[in-house]
Amino acid sequence: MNSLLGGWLGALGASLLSPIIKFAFPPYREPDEVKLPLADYRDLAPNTAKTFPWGNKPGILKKIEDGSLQAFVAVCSHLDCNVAYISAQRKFFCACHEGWYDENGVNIAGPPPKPLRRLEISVDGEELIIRRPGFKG
Amino acid sequence: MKRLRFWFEDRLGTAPIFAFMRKKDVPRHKHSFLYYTGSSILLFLIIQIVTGIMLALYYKPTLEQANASVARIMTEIPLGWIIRSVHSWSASFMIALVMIHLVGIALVKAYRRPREATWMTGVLLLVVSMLFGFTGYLLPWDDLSLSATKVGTDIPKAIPVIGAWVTKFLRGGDDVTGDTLTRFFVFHVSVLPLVIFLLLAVHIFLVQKHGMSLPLKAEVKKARVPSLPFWPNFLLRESVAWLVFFGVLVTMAVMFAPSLGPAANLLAPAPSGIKPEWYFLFLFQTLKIFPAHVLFVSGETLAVLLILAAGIVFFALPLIDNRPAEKKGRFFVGLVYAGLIYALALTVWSLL
Amino acid sequence: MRKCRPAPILILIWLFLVMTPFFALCQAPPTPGQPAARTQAESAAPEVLSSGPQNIKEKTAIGVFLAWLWLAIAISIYVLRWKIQEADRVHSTKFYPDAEAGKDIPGDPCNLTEKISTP
Repeated sequence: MNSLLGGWLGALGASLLSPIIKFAFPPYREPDEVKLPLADYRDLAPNTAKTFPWGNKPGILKKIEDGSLQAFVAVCSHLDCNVAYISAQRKFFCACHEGWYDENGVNIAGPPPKPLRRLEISVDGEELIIRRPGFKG
Repeated sequence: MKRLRFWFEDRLGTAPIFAFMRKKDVPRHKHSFLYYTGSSILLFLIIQIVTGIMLALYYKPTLEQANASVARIMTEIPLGWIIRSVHSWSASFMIALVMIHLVGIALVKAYRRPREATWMTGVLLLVVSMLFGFTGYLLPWDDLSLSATKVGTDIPKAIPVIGAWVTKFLRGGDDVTGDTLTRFFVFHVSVLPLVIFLLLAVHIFLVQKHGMSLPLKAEVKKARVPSLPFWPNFLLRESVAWLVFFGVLVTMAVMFAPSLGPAANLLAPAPSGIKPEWYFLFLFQTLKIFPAHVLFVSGETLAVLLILAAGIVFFALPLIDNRPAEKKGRFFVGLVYAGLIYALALTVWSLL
Repeated sequence: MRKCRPAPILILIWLFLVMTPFFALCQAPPTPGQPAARTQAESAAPEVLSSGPQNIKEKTAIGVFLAWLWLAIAISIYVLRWKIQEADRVHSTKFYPDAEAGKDIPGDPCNLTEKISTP
């Protein structure tokens, strides 16, 4: 009888546990796409970068020599610190543990195990649309 | 499983506790249902703590973000509205049970010797519970809670000498501002929980030390009252009560979830229909029925002093009612009934 | 002869059921003139934010949850009553030696337990 009672009370408790757990883990996902005003990024000089918000994370938009833009998620693949673009060295640098990435975001020195995540860019009129790879708006 | 239990029993020495629980008896008589109220209060307190911690994961206690964070809990966080609703309803249920517990004990005179200290800690626990409700009410920071807090923190000003100082301490200044909100949040989640744990520890220890009280008649006649062992007989019966209370709480919370007004505007006039939570209504109405001036004293001061005096009499009831079995005792039973009817009548009046 | 009195729990339940509509009355939104509508995070118009299930899917989910909750409670209480009867029976045989001598047999005035006849 004890196991019968325990079983039912356990089932009751479990049914209450699921909402509590769902509550404690907020439902945030990264965005699938972000729209930015093109005007803010049109006048970037080549080999310079500017940050933009990618959900709760920072993103970096970098203009390359031929005038087009590259977009990266500016979060270090090692332990999630924010990275910066150093124009003089044409490299991304993570100050936390001295991780280095080249101008295309590939990890070249220090602890980062993977390259920076790339994002796809397209232009729609006066809007710059940044998408995660594989998302077809 | 048994080995694990014996391991703990051996290290922690919990065997005497279980022996005590088995030896502890709960008398059975026509007022035995009052014995269920104490543990039910504990049940609701635990629910408050759990839901309170969950809400505090997302609540932001600043002037700019308080209302928006509560709105976020209600709209974005999964099932946040249920957690908030359970917290709000459980507060009402807990305070209602504390009042039933107190009134029941006053009527059966369970506060008589040697349980005076138990009664006094109990009255303090009622005050702390109501302070929990008062401080929690401000936290959503909507128009209604702001106005209710302005009125509530203004009332101590009517106390002579220390009144203005008490109001200033409660508000963190002369007026209700963002500082008041932060202050109330700290009281609600830090100071009052510590106070209530301390008072509860003393209260529960005293209850165990003195055992369950017997009806006055039985004690006077030295009659033998049938009893039930606390463990497991009474505890199993209490579990039934807890399950039912829990079911009623969740049902009410889901069906009558509280709403949230727009963020408070410190400069706007008070909204119409302003009233405090139900457990303050009788006090609120008492203040309203006093005229602005009585002879040379402000009506509000008189009302506050009368309420304080009544509170002190209530607190010291075991000391004043020192002959409970005689006519004096019956007078105090009448007084408690009168107080109860007064509180109920004024509460209903304030709602009309 | 002791009369069968209603179980004390019933009295407390009755008290609560009587008081809960009263609580519901006190929970009414503060500005009854304004429409209660679900708003997004930033809203310029001052509106009362009501909570609760918003569509039929959520309402059904809530209904199912409440039904499950009460079913689980009912079954748990059914099993608990068995345990209570067993515990009362065990106590009436004075199984535990550390129970004080001279204490009255608790019995059960409502005849919920079966009396074990002693030889």
